[in-house]
Amino acid sequence: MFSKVFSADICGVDAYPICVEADVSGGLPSFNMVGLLSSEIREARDRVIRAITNSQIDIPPRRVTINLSPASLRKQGSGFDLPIAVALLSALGIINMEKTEGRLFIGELSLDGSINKVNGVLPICMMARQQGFKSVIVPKDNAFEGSVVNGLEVYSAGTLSELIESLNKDSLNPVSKIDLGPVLDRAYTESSLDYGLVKGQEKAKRATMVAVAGFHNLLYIGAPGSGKSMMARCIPTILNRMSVEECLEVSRIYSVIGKLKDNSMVLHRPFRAPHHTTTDTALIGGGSNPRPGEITLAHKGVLFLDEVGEFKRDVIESLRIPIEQKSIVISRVSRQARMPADCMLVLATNPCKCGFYPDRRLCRCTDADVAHYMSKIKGPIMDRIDICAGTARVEASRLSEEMDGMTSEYMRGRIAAAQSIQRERFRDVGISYNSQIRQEDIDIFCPLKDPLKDLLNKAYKKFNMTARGYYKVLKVARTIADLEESRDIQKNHLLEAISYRNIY
Amino acid sequence: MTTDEYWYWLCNIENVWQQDLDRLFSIFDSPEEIYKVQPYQLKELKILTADQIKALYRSRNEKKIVEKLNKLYKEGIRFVHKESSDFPERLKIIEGCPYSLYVKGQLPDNDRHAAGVVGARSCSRYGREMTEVFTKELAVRGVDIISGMAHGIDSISARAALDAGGRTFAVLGSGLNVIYPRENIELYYEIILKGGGIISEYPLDTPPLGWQFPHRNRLISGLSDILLVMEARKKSGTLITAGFALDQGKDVYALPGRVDDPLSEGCNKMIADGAGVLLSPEYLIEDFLGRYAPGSREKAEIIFAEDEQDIKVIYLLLDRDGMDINDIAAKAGRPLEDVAAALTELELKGLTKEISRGVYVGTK
Repeated sequence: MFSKVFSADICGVDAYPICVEADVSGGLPSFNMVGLLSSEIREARDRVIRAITNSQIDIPPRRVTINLSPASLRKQGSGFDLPIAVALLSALGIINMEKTEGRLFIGELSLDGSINKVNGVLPICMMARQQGFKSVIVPKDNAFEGSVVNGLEVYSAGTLSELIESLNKDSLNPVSKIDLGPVLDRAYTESSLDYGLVKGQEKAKRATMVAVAGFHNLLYIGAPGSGKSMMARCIPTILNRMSVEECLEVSRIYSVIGKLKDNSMVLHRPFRAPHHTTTDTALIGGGSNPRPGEITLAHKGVLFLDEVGEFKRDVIESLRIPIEQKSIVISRVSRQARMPADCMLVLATNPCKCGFYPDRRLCRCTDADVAHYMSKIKGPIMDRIDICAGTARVEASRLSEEMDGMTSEYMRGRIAAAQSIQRERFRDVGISYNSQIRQEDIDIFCPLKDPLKDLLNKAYKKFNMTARGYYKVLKVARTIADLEESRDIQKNHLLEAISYRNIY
Repeated sequence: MTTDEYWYWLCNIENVWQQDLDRLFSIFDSPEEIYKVQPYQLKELKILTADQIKALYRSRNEKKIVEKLNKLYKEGIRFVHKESSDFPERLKIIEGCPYSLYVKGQLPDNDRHAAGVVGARSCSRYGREMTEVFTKELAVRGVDIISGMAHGIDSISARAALDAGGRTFAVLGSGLNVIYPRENIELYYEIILKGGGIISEYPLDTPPLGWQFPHRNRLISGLSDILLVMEARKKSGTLITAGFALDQGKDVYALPGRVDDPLSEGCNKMIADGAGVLLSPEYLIEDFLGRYAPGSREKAEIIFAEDEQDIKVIYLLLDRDGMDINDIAAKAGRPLEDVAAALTELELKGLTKEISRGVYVGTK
């Protein structure tokens, strides 16, 4: 007898369907598995046989062949245990073959027949909906991942025997759907951090607000202990709420690496802060079966590199292309994985080796020392930074003051207003933020009156700006104008934008 | 051949150096005499080695000499020798006065004040700023600034003099057409363009060899009336220059620094040994020029137009130590974004400088 059921595999953060075929025929008793399988799938043979036997079902001594197709793709992961078992059982006639049609199975088997949790259930469910599968059967512990995918029936199963019975009797256990919108709303405002707690850094806060409003990449420069990390850590408190689509897009990534915590989606925009000893593979992703790196884990959120000068140069260099293209393609001999990497890049650095430049009481670095230190982050990665903000050393007297200046709530409001102006402006262009304006569209979206053009040209000359720097100033000026809810870019907007240029 | 051509020939013989010429001139009176002397006579004198004598006779090609000198003029380079009318008077009296100079642009006037400014190549921010302050005060009063166009203090003083509208001269340690360090190419041409000059005692194409730098330092001090030492380590080329200046009888001023700062060690030592102290620009000007006329800082009233009063308020708050923009805004009682805009505008006018992100100093 022959049967086939569907399952799925993950490459990068995308799922694609795999067909699992089982054939039971006469001849010498054997159990063979083919289809370019990794060792964990080959081991499935023993798990499947023991799980079936321990579910009080006898496997007759026949010649069993399991095939996973397409045969040219290398398959990995332990999620194929369940589909192999189901295919075998329906080939043996224990499961009614019709009941498996149009369904996708995913799950790992324990020797006692219980179905274990696997990674990547969310992207598999999303793929199943897209490909028109009728339903997906997932492990009980992964049920919550199925609960958020609308327009697809998802059933959960705890043990193999339970699944066999409910399949045959059409009494599968459906996973109830959850509406993510209210959940995201509830989660949005809960945070222990607040910019109101950051004292005496109004300039840096202002720069941060501009950066977030236009989704500009940001660099903090300041002395140790001046609050660079604190400023960065507060950024999530002023980012806008994730939409349901964004939440699924981000949660899908965390599902693949098994980092969805507490049976819940990723409800806050991610904030990733890898340590400076990290490798380029860990940062941009990689491995023989490509796994997402930090830049993908920061998708739709913030990638924060503290002490960026301490990172190895090639690690920093590896960020250039993904930051520009908002995605990363990792090519392997057999396949290619494209992973999203649409994050806001936030860097922080000291201004010099000792960190206290230009404070004469504390810093003894020579001009050459300072230039050498900054040269580490100069060049291509600085080119991708739109806003360069300084954090000040704050006098003790100012620290004891009560909440002063802008709070996160206030900043959120201003940012939301500026972003809705941008959404309106870019409705037909396919971008969402000022930072994404293409060079050829600059004149359309960031027009300058003649006197302001002269001003910018003067600054271009005086400050030795690059062409890229020139356009960055224009985009940032556009964002500042949006924050001030001004239709045109005014002189003060332009001057403020120039003050955020890279001076190193 | 003309006197100039004889001189040019004599100063461009391969491997014949200044000390060889010194010895030749103890016997001969002019280059022309040397040109016409016979090989066996020279050999008998035992002043030059056999190789040098060979080179001397090989180079006696009148056509080539004239051609080369004309080529020099065509490139806008002047060849000045000890007997030229425009050879700097100040140099004639120093020990080791070169027999000839190559000049692009002007030479310092004999009757105009000149100050040499020297210091460490890798200087601190303190050294940089003080160099700017002192140089500007001198330059706006018409004092020529002499330096070596090296990295650090040298270039900073040249730049500051130009920015203040003054004249500056650079004495190179390489051939005139070898611009070293390379980054200073812009400065090189600006010095010439703004009425100053580039000077070298070395023939064209001479590479910047290490020993030539301390050697040319005697010309920096020699061309100056006073020497300002901005920052110097205990053992440094700067101190060599100061040594030359003292030997030449020039006044030397040193910039005091922190006791435990290696970059100030040389300066502090010089002060202990009796050098003048750069207490303040006012003090220097009075000591050097005899009187102090108010500088440009007081001109703030004139710099700003009627409609620029709001940025003037910000400008008057600034100091030389550097103020954080948050503090400036707090003092001015104005919103940050306005202050940021005002500071950028001031910077465009050249009245402030952002020395580190968000930290501004007032200039002028």
